Amino acid sequence: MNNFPFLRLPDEPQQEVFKTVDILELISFSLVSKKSKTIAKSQNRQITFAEITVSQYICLEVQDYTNDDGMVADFYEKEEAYDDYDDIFDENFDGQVEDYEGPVALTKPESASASSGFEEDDYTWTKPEFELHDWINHILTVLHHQKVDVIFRNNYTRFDVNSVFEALSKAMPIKSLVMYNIGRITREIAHQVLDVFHSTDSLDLCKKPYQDSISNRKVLMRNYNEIIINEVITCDDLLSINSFNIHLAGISNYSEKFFNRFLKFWILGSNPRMQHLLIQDLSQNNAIEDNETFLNAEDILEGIHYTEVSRNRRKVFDDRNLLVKGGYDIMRFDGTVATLTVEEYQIGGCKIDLFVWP
Amino acid sequence: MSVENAPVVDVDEAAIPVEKKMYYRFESNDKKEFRVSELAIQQSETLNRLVEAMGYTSEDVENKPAIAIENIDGKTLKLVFQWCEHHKGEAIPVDDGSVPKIVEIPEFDAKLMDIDNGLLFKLIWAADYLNIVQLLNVSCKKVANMAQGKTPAQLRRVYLLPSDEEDEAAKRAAQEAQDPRAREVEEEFEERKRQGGNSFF
Repeated sequence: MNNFPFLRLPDEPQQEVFKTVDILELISFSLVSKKSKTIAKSQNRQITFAEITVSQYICLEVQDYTNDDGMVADFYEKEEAYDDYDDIFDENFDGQVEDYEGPVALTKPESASASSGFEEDDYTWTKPEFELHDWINHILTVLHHQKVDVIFRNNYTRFDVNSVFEALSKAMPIKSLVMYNIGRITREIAHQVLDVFHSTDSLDLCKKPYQDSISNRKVLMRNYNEIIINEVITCDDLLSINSFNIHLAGISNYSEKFFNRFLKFWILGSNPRMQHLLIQDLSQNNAIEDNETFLNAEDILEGIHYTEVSRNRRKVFDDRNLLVKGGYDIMRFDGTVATLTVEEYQIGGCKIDLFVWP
Repeated sequence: MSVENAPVVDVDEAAIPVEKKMYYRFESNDKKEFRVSELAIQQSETLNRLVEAMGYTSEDVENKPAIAIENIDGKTLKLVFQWCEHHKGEAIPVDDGSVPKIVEIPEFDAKLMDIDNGLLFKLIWAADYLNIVQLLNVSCKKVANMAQGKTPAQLRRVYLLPSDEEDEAAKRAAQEAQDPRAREVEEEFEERKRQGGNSFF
């Protein structure tokens, strides 16, 4: 007897069987029938994130960091396709892709190539009636996840951007739009993507998408919940950002003068929607060797009325439960209080936070 | 002081606790009898409650008929009690509801469950009925392992899962087998629902 009468088991053992399987097997099981989907969904399996990467093919990745479990499903994969993942950090990559056939409109995927991402366990799933959004909705519904991040990793896609947007719009709402390596092939696609995917919760930019500052400002001025920029921006750029949470990362070399100017404008009323500014400046790695000092909070606050607070004062910031220890309280013209903290990283570099209290 | 000169102490033998192993007798539905230790029985919430409620003494166990377990056969019950005896005294895991559940199959259990799927099915059914938490965990894990590396089409065959079309056909057949009047009422109800009516009456 090589088969097992699963559905003849009582309800509890039926549930128990799929409590122990990996996400990949759970989804594979859920694709068998409506009944198996219901059983899989009732497991109440949760994931940390879901992201869709659009490049030469379209990839849905889900991860459960708590349990070190996850899966990747690739659609429209071509065996001979150039794998642009390998070249994300290759500065010499000229972005030329042989036999580029794009942009092409999305059609029904013939199949999905799925794997756990950790082992050599590739599955080919076929579901002839499924459009791309059906695949995404099916997987994310079983995993009780309501939103996805969309990543244009290499600013390259053989798919028509409007067609991708149309398909993803029928799937789960897009939480975050991530655009890496803008400019590697052409900025044209980046512009299209920003035009078409205009109402996401957050935007993560590796580089400024436009070469002229006016066009860039138009993007920065959008009302995102969070904007992440991994490239040096000017103080004027920062002043034009309209997002609740602003995260500037990477090697940025911001000076005390930069922050001082920004804070003075904030006190006068600029960036009224801003709730949290986080700057992770890794550019000071050499400071230890050069015996230079890190950014100094008191220099940042020169000419600004502030109150230094003991590190014993601990306040929890918003629903992310960020613990703010001490810092420097400053006040905007309308009485709104913000706390500035400057923290050195042991490996070099520093982290600057400005928490605006509600 | 020599042994001969040591003071003699009277010992009340009745006061010394004697470890007395208590066994119970169970009978399967095909009249196979098993003697199972009290400690092993504790792995089964159902049997443990049953023997507690019966309040048998050792004499009762010998003099009264074996406790009948009417819906489990001897072959399955033998596996169940072998498992319980091997794991007697072990803590019973508490399910905190978190998923995925991490379950390892120990070597003994793996050997015990080196059986055909028909018997495995009966073992799971028995573990569920007798409420033996860890036996249910490992036996279900064995069934879960059958899914490893399988496509949906392969899973359909392994787990004997009907397709949506087969499910629909079975549902229709069940409806047709219903009492004709009940079917008429159901159809009328569906029709009214389609027409947007809020109440059947």
